[in-house]
Amino acid sequence: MRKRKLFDRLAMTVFLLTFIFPSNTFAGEIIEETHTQVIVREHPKTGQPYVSIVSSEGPVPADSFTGQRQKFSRPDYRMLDPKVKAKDIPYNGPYSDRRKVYVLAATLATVGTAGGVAGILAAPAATGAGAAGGAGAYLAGAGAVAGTATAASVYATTGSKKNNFIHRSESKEAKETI
Amino acid sequence: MVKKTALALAGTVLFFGCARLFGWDIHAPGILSGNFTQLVRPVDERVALYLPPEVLTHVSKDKGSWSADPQTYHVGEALGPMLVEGFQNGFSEFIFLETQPTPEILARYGIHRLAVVRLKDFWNRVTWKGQFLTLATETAVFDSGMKEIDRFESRGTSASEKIFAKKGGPEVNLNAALENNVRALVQHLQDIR
Repeated sequence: MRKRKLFDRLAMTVFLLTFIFPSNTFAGEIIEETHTQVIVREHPKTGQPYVSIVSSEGPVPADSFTGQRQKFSRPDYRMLDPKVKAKDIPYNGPYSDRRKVYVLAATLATVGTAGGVAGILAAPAATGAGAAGGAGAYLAGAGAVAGTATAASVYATTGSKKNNFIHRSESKEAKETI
Repeated sequence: MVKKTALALAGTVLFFGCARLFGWDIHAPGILSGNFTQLVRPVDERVALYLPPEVLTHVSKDKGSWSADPQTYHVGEALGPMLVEGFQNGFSEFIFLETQPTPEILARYGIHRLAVVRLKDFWNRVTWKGQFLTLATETAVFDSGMKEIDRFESRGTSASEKIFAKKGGPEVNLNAALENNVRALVQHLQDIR
């Protein structure tokens, strides 16, 4: 009998609590409070899917990498070796914007017919000269490139010595905040 | 008069080159090299990444020396996809947070570690021989209650010669610096588990 009363009281308590705190407030409340949803996006370069958590308020926001969906081959860093010629390593990635050359050509073209022809003819030649002589244009600078990569590090890895370039990857505990 | 101006412009272009006048607009491919997966092995863990909006749009105009051609480095647009790819390769369960992280979100999705990456610095040194690029980032690591459990700085460097003479040279050099940073960052996160 006493057990029965206890059971009834417990049942009543649960019943009342269910009204005070509807069942979805326990599990569902968290979902509503976060105001987020899970979506699957594709990596802009590799196409590999990944999980993304976005705001659930309003329509699904645009991908953070919108406008970068261009597929390139993975870079081969051997092309950084000065002894390796550009044509020896295939590269299909972006390169310094030639658009500006055409802007110049268009600018020249608007100046006059003669100027336009001269400008259009000059532009590719000038680009070639700029590209070939680019490194030579940098006359100032302190110290050799190789001599600068001597910083101490906690997790340091230096690139292969057989290549004529230096790659360094390091990480250490931060002492001050940004 | 018009003809003289046009010829002067053409002559200037011929003498200095377009790069000298207009500069280099450098977009890295934004994809990791094949070496990355060989050097970074995935660990079995759920990790989330949050990138403040300013990271994805960061642009540097540091030209590296007073006499160098103008250069514009689109650092953020390449770093974002590379970080995502690095985390995909570094952790078995990767979640990209595109909304401001809160303890509720971390608890809801069972995220025990959240990495928030910020750019700290970008150095460019250009000499007559070549270029030395370094990207520094600072990563704050939070637990599921959004309590900061670690903070570390990562640096990725790429130094090479005569890259401006090659098609795609500056772009690949930038890519290498970013990749080295991503590698250090992911490996550090793996190490402090």
